[in-house]
Amino acid sequence: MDTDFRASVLKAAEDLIRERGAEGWSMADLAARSDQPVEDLQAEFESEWEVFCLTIRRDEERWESAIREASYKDAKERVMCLLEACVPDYDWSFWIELWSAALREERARQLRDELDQRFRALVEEIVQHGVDTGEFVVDDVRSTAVTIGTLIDAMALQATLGDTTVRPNYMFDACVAVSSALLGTQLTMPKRTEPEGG
Amino acid sequence: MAERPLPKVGWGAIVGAGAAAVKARGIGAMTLEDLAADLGVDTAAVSYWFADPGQVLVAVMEIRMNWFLDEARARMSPLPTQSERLREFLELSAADHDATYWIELWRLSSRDEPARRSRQALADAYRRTIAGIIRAGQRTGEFGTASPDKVALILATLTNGLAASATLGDREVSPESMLDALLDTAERLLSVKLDPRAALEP
Repeated sequence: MDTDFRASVLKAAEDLIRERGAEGWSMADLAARSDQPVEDLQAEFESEWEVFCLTIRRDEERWESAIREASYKDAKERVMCLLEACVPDYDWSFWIELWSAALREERARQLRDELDQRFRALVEEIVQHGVDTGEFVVDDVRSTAVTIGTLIDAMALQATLGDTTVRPNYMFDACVAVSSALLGTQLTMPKRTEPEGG
Repeated sequence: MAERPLPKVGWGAIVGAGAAAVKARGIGAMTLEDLAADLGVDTAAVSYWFADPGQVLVAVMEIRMNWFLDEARARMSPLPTQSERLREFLELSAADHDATYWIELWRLSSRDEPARRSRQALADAYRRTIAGIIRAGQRTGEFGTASPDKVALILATLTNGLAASATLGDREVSPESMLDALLDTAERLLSVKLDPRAALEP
């Protein structure tokens, strides 16, 4: 199967999961949504669960790529890139589904663990970079990474649920405050460029 | 033959059965029919009190939150300083870390407006309590000048995230490490020392 086919089906799956959750739809629903024959979907994907796994992994990879590909001059800027990546793309709908499934299903628990470990490793890498360059003062790099990663997750969760306080800018500001405190440095908010002619 | 009257079931019994059902099956798989079967009553006896399973979950959460805040107030009131009160509050949060119902409410809130409003009200009640302790501590000069509402939001949100991880069996997040992270974050943001107790109370 070509990658365009998979991409278009997974895009349709994203919409379905946001609307109905991880388990509230069938392969037939996905076929209808993606305008593809159900037989083709069944040949390509083993189950609805596999589609969900691919969808959340694809979403995480997109987010991780945005962080890894961002340009920075030092570790402080890398932390800001990490936090900034969460602000416009704070939709944690797939995570909410995964956490709920993980309460009762081992396969969901394993997937959550795998994705969390990957995210924490990325945060840890950035924190370690700052420790190595002398920008950050941290006793326990891993536990600091776990705290920062967890705060980002939980802030994004509240924003996804339409929390009246956790607006994107507030979320960003709070994450910067905590990261500064935990990393023993002062992270500075980026100067936003006003749109031309505005 | 006269019709048999519906078996009566009280609001509290339904909420109790609902709490067990949410834990066992999840809110997505819970129906009022199943709940009625669990209680041995007709569905109409349950739907008299609750229009849908989401309302049962919200009632469970409200009872748990009221219990938590009452318990926190009772434990904090004899303590002489706001630092001790904040530490006590965070200790109780870590000890009562089971986030099963929160996770189910988050899922429900993502597609259900009444549940979304209830989640907000519950989160606000929790945050207000922390902010109140911080404001009192700033008045006594124990805490630094950080925004009480912002620090309360951060501590409440971090509690949510760590509790969810601990509930899901995360090997890097235990109730003990959760408390360490909360105390460390509070100390840094409020420029205060909150001496941790040796062990969590059961």
